[in-house]
Amino acid sequence: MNFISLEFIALIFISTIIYYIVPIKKRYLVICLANAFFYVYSCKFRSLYLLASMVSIFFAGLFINKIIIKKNEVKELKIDKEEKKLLKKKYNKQKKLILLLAIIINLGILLVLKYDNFFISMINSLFSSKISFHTFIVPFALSYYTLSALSYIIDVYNEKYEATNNFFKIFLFLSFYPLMVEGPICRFNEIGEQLFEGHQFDYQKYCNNLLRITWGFMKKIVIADRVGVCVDAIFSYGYSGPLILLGVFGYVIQIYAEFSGCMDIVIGIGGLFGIKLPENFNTPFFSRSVDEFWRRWHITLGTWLKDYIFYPVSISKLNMKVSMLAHKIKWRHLADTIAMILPLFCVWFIMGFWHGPTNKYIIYGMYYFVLMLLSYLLKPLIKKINELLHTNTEVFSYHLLQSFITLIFVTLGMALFRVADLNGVKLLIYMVQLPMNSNISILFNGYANLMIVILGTITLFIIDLMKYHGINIMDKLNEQNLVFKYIVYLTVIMVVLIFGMYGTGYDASSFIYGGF
Amino acid sequence: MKNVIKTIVFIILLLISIHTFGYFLRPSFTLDNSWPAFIKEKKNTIDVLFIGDSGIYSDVSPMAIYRDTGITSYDLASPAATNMAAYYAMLEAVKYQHPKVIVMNVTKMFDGKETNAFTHQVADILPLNSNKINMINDSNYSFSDSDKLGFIEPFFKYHDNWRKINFLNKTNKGVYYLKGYIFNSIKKSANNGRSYMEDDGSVQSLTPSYVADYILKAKEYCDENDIQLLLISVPDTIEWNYDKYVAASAWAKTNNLTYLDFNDYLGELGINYTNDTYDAGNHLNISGATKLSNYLGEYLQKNYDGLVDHRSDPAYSSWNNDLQKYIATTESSYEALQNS
Amino acid sequence: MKNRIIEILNQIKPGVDYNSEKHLITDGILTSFDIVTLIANLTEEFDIEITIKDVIPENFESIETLEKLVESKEE
Repeated sequence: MNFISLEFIALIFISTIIYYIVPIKKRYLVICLANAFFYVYSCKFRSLYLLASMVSIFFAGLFINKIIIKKNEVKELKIDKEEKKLLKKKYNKQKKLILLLAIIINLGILLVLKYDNFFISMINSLFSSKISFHTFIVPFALSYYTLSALSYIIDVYNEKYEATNNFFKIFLFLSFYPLMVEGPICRFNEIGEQLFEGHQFDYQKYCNNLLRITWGFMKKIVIADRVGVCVDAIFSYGYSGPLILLGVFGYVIQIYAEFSGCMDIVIGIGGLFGIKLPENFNTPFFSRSVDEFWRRWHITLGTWLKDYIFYPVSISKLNMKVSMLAHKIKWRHLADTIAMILPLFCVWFIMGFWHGPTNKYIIYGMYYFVLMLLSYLLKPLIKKINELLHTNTEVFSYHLLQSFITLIFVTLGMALFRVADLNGVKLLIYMVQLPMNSNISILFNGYANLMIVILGTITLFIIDLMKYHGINIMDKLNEQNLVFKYIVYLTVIMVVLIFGMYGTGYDASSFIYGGF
Repeated sequence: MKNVIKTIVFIILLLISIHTFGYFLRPSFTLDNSWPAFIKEKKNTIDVLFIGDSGIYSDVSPMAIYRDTGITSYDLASPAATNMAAYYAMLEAVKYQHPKVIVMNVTKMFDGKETNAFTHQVADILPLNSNKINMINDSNYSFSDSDKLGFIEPFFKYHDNWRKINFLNKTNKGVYYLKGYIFNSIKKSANNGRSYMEDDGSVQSLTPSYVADYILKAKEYCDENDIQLLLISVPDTIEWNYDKYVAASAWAKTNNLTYLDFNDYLGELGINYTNDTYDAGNHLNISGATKLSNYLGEYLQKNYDGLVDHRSDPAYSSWNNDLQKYIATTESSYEALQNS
Repeated sequence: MKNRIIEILNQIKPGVDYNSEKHLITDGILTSFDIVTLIANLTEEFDIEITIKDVIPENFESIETLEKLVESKEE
């Protein structure tokens, strides 16, 4: 089921309306049904993979819980200290075993369904065998699903919270249908309980969320799809000269409008049910460093990698040994940087690989690995230079410069993300030096389309700017009189309906990030 | 309760906005030149309805027929419309007039359905009612859900037309006196003359497509409602040929239908493809259309009872006024073509 | 011990009044990089072992919580 389709819009309304008709204690069942419907409708039998995975996660959680309880009982046992220690060790081992099993099962499903051809080609090239390729059609957003599932089982293992003994809660958490296109990646302690408990209907909130969904559609089908026409043309290498730069920056606008638009739709749908999903974007283009950018862009992926890769690797025994050795160096900052190498490498390698098993994505990850490491290493140097030059770093112009430099690095990263393969990079660099062979009007299919893109981007910018300065536009709108509010609502809806690229002549469009 | 009312008001406002924009976003169609005036004609004053495709509105001039015979008639035709679309247009038209004879062009009875864009040219003119819903749901059209949405509310079909939005009145009231006929004075001769109707001794047998089923449906409707149905195929060197003539005649005979293939009467009509066509033998210009209409008028008068001469009836004075306008517009072009 | 922790903090991120600041994490003063560096330095300085279970925001919010964390590990 595509997000930009009549069926999906019907599902949103029907499921949320029925939700509020059913008695409050049974409301979670409506979500369960909607999820099941969504899966079976769009994935047919392949949804069984997910069911199997959910069952494995549920039982693994319960087992780990039991072991933890036993382990905690050891303290009260009337046996000597050595025995207690041994017993604890035994339980820890069991716990670890179940965790590993759960991780292997779930990563296994992901790897088999999504990365199979990558491994086959690797085996083929290593052993010059000829295993044939086959393509599983990946159930929706399997990568997002897997990360959510792993976070639950790891959290239970780390005793962050207890495993639930209610399968419904796991089912709700792992299959909530709006999340099944491109996240956000949720945590059980954030949304598990929310999904299960019934929510009261709140007219104002319902309206606000509908507006947010409409706004998301606007970003997607008015701005992103429109600029996408130009971006697709340029990244199919038919154009040359400064137009390439247009395509590269256009892609930044496209992916931001699209990804954050999708998040507005998803979080809006959650809001219709009275559920607060985590935000995935926080005005990323006002970031003053690449590091900050990744704390404002695809936030839930960033925090997932931080919590489950960066910290564990950083404080692992291996990395601590590296750190100890490094600290024999007098220059403390270099030592700290060396201690960052392994964790950062793991984070960005996984980040790249998660997007897809191709060289391009892995290099994309490595690009950020190098960038992050360098920016960390050079931080004191830049500070020294600024001190020498007496630069005022707390003024608008300096922030602007920082944001601009960040934007350049991010844009280069996105271009790498967009090209079909690594040869594409060489090709684009070559072609940008050639004379311009077309004009903007042709690329956008008329200046009118370009105007809409520009106006849309300015609107996006203004709204982000307000958000950055802590102004909540939704609250401001709610203070207004009914007539004005209705004019705004109608305008937004009509802009989407008229200027949206949907229906005859447009293929049902999918989301760039939906493939992961 | 207050919220329910607020929601309902908002939804109504939204639907009105969508419908209004839909009206202005929709491009102008051929039927915009005939349908709005047709439904405003006094009830039951039109005796003959011509239904079909461009062959009707190019080749049959109701005013030429009125001038000769006093029979009131109207062209309700849309480009490339097959008998499928024509059938549904007919069902709507008979709600406004009760004609004595309905004349259908069957040139496209061997073809498949028209493309969606041409179906829209008919359907978008029709009001949203059970007839239109039946049309949209017709399994022979096999529209997808999003197609159907575009038919129910044309906004969703034409929303992307915003660059060409036209807030001015899209219908051309000035030409309503043509009664659906579209006047053309250009001359562009056909190369192959009448050869398309020659029996070359190798007749291919053709079978009418599912489109022809709608002719039978129209017949059924006409029989039930005391209307005579006359099938014609207009002179056409491009879309018509001898094989089709043979097949259509045989099909009409087996189904007991009155059928007139004008391509077989070119001599009697006096049509020559040098002067009488504006697009090299596909459609007729004012000269050809006048010849065809004169013949058709005479045929109707001779073969159908109850077709009254309205020319001296004061209730039809507006028709006489329209006739004067018609003559003023077309006469000189007609003469010029005769002398060329 | 408090002073030694503050000294480490000042090396990682100078210009913060660690005596009064109570929301080092929630207010975004310490980034994940800083936390990792902090852990590495604490581990070395006090010869303790900090595990992943300890890496929760609550343990890093202020000098007091950090002190508690180190104390609990020194046992």
